[in-house]
Amino acid sequence: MIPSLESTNTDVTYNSRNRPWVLEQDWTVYSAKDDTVQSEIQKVRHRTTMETPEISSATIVTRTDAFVQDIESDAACNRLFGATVEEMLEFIPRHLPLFHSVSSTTLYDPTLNRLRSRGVMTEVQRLFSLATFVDFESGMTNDFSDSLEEVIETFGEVALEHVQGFVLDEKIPFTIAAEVLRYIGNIESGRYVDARRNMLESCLLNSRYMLVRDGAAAGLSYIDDSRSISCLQRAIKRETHNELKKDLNEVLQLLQDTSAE
Amino acid sequence: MSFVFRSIGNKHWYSADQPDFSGWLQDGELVADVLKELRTIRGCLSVYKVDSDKQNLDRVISAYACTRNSLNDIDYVLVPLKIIFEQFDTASTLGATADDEVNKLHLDIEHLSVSKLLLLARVFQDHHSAMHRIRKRNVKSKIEDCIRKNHLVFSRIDESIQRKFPEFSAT
Repeated sequence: MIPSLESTNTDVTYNSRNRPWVLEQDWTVYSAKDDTVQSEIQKVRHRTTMETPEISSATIVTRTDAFVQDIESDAACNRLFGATVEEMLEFIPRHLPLFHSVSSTTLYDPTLNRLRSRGVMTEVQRLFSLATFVDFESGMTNDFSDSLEEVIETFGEVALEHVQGFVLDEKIPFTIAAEVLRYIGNIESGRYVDARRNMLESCLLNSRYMLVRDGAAAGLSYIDDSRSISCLQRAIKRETHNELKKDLNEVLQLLQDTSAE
Repeated sequence: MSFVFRSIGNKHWYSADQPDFSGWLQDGELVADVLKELRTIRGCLSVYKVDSDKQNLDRVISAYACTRNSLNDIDYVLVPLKIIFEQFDTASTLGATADDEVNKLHLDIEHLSVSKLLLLARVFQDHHSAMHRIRKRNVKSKIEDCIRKNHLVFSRIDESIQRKFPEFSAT
């Protein structure tokens, strides 16, 4: 249910540039993936325009780029992407009461993807700069693995692309890369699971390091998706390390068992 | 012939074929990183005894897995107990797992100096063919089995592992 406009505070707040902090978004961009949200937002937008024309006329900031530019911070990009409508509208408090009914919906948008990629590179770099100080212990999570998971949860596919780049371009030691791939496979959240699988498959097929391929295969076994079977078969064909080849066959068998279940 | 069970980080570190280090590691040498996985506390390293017929191996693996905070594959080595007794000082001490019977199988390999630890790594390397990897899925089913049989005291299992078995959390 959308709270009535009468109950909202219509005062316009001002940011540091003395511009009214009112967001006139192309809502359809945000809501393209969710018809219900789109419909709700259209209703609100309509009512906003019809019942409170001063808001409409006061609209200054348009589209996400401008909004982020106003905030002048990569953190803004990070906060926007993947945020719920409610979280996003915390930037514009006066709109917040309007959107309780859509607060659980997550925003996805190519523009935001692009924007947040600026921040994610920084995050991934920061993360891997810490990795060299981490004492990896098998079967134990640590601050690094927690942060890695957080970065992936926050930035999604863009983060995974960067991590893959670090692994395959060998910007991080292969021993660390192997651990990273295990952690990525073992993330329990179902979010970005296809992207994680694709990334691990790519590392399995393209890394020149045996230990990295081993880590990628372990990660794929954790995800346990039979769609990786063909990748495993290709990896087995080209694997030159006999022991790893046996392990890959074992993972293949696991996935085939999953497929048969 | 009984064995000792010891988890190792990654069995491939002990492989004779080390393509990732081929530029500098001589044949038969071990990469120093293996020592990181042999974490000693005051010169002691924790291992568990396994029966000659290995009937209690699954129970040891399950109990050990529950001391960690994440379910993963487990790489481990089984070395004849006799070899450990011959080359190292040992002491039976109570383990700290959620399985009291497994705790009685706990053994400290003690008085480990750096050179002794290196010797132990060499012993493990010599038993590379006795290194195994048990997959996460199988680890999970073994733990589940041990919980059902009341071998593992659920409340004493690490909470993060407990959460993987919600069906037991109310019992």
